[in-house]
Amino acid sequence: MSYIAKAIKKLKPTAEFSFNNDDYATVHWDVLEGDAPSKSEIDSAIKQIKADELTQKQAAEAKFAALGLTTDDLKALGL
Amino acid sequence: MPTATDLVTDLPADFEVFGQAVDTRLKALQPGTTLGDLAYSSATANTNTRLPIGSNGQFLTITAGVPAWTTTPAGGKVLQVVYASTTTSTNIATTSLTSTTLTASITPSSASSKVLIIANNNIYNDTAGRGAAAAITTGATTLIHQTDGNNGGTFNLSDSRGSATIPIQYLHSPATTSSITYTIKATSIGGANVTFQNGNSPSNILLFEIGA
Repeated sequence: MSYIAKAIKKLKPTAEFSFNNDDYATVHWDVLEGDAPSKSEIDSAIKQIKADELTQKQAAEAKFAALGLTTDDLKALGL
Repeated sequence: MPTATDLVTDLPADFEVFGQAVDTRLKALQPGTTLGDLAYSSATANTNTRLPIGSNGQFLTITAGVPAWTTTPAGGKVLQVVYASTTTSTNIATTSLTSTTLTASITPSSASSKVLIIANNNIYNDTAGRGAAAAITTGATTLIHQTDGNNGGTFNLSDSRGSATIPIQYLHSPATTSSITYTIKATSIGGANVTFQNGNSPSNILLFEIGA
């Protein structure tokens, strides 16, 4: 999923929009409550989303390791 | 026609009469005057009608009960084809019809022609149980919108992520010889994010003008 779309959904959960080539400048708003988030707000939200994803991934890997599993084990199971 | 007795009395004159009669009859049976002319029987006994030679590429047909030349029939033929594609990644997270950037224009050669539109859309969906509904539009007119009024239509995955190339077609009767622009649009079901041309993977459109 586009990180711009994720960021917009995080900041404006009810917004309806479209954009091209992952370019914030092309965002067209069809439904928007309040002001449109600025590019800097979007960029900050993207950083936060990526950090959260990394944290979740590391937590999952730690849980696997505690069970004596590796990512190769998961691949072997087709996951 | 001179009799045997006539021939004895005035041979030269009788031959002239005889020859004229034969000439008139032959001309009635072979009325052609130009290379390639054809002759066909008329309603008058022993008299054929001249059909002047046609033009290059013409076909022989029947008009009002008699043979006639006609131009190449256009019915059912593909008269022209237009192809276009796009790789512009387009995220649609709206229930409003939005251009996917896939578009093509055609100028029909006849107002009676039809236009067959075939488009293949590369779509990526990242929300389980949600999807997109594609449409073919021209100007402000929506020719077909594949929505089922629920969670999809064109594309709907129960899995959390997935991509596919989804076709959409329509046979349009534009009744014009002016240029027409067809644009593929889409709505996202429930406002979920759907990506067309994900990763700049191409979508394409073909326009066929079909003779009436």
